[in-house]
Amino acid sequence: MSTIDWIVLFGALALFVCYGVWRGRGERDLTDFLLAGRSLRWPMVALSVMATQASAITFLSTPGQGYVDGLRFVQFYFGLPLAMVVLCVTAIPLYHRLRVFTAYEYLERRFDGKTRSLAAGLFLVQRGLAAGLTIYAPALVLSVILGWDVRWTCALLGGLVVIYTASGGSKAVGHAHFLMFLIIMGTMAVAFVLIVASLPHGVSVGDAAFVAARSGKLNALQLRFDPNDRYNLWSGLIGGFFLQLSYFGTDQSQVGRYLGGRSISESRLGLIFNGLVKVPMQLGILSLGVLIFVFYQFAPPPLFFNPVETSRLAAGPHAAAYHALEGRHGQMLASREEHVRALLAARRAGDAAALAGAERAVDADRQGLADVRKETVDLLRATDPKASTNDTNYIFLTFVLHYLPVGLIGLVFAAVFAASMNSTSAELNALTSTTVVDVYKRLVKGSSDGRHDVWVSRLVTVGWAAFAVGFAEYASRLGSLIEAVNILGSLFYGTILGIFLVAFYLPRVRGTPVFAAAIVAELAVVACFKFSSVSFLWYNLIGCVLVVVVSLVFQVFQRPKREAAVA
Amino acid sequence: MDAHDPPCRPDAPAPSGPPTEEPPPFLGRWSRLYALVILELIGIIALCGWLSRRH
Repeated sequence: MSTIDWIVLFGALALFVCYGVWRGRGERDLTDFLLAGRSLRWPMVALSVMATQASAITFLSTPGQGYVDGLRFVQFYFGLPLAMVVLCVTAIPLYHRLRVFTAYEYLERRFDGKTRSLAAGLFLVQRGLAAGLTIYAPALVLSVILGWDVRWTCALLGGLVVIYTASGGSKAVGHAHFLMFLIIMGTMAVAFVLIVASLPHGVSVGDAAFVAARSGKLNALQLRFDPNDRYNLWSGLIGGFFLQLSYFGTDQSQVGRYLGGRSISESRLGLIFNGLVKVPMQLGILSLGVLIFVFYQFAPPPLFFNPVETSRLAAGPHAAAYHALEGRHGQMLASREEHVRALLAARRAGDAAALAGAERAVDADRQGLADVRKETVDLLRATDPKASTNDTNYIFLTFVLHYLPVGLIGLVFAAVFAASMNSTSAELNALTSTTVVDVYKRLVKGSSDGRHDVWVSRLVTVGWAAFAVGFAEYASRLGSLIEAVNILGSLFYGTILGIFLVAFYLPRVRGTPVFAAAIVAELAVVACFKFSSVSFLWYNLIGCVLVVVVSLVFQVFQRPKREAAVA
Repeated sequence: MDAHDPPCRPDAPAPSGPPTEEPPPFLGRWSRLYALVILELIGIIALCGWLSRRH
């Protein structure tokens, strides 16, 4: 990167931290620190909710997924708008009416302390680990660019976030979200326009769409039902609905965002806005990856996008084989460019025979390139059995570094950092809320002084940041980061959602049956993960349904016992 | 199972003066906003279907 890019990057980071600290001044009690004094208007709630979900992982992995796998990942989000509507009707009025700090507080009022503790515990485990992944993604970026140690990069990022999150709490987080998310979306929009402008002379957007379609990258909808297929309409609508319902309805990192709304209406409008904008936004980011794929039909992409791994390969015992593969790769790329141009020419001329011939040639090139890539991955493994063979997360940034103008490169990197800081700050704030309200305040009775509680919250925030940075060290072997986060969430979300659905809709079920059912459901979900090939989106449905059904069964068995005891 | 569970409390104690529900600033009724969200989703799924058929 140039000096200007570094100035833009570090200037933006300093601005984000200072703005968060400045807007977060004046915390007096827990309501101020954990819920921004319940003072936020709906645009702030909306962007804060979106910024919390759209981490740096979204902006690193999603274009890479678009490049490799086309648009089909968008189906993952189809359940989100439906979940927003359900939450606006049910959860938001309930939480506001009860004036709870955390979603788990409600469970003690509805059931008992142990059910609240179980749900809060599942959240703390899941979200604590996920916070580590959220920090790791941008740390990976800097470590690749600068050759820095990933651990120190994680520590730097965690340190930046903790400055304003620990000092200003939820208000600082909300205001920083607002500023940073606007900058992120503006930057991504400019990047999108520049990628379109980077297409070779004579290649229109229509041509790009044609090439993408012929390469199977516009596969945005799969109607066939297959429980083992990770992304299709049904897994997105049904599994995705339960995942999003659980994430937004019971995960404190989101509940805390909209509970900071000034009223029921402000919180509702925030979620409605998310329901309207989220799916088109994801489609746009995936399209960015598809456009990069088309761009690289006319320009040579690297043989493997992770420069650290290829450098190691080039310096290792298989260097000669690697250089030979690079040579074959270069020849095939030249051949493919020629055939893709012939494909477009045949399309414009309306020559069906030439079109069919060019398609066959492009398919053969694609197969040849796939073979070369497979041989490269085998070489990586032969050089180092622990080598990272998934380069999805490097695709977007490789393009940015090589083809975007000076200044914008720094801004894109600042946007990736901002996205990570947004998610991490919301996670730290939620982990703090749950630790202080659902654990500390129940164990340490009588700590009612507002200033004391705020200082305890600040210390807890610093503690969770240290834990997340520590876990980030282990995140490097998890493949596509966005999938890792979603799989991790799906292991727990179904069970937590089941507990809340029983709480909302099955008034006869009591605490102990739902507690026991949650244990059974969680064991079943973990068994599915370990011993079956069922796609992770279905874990949400499995966990949720098991909690509801098993708690009903346990409740039936419990009743005669009680009657016997009374008799 | 513990036979001495506390009684169920589906209508857990609400504080006095629950927040009132105001109409949304757009479209007049919440149900219309919800319908808008669902209609947009249907439109996006239709767009995705159209894109997929371009292959």
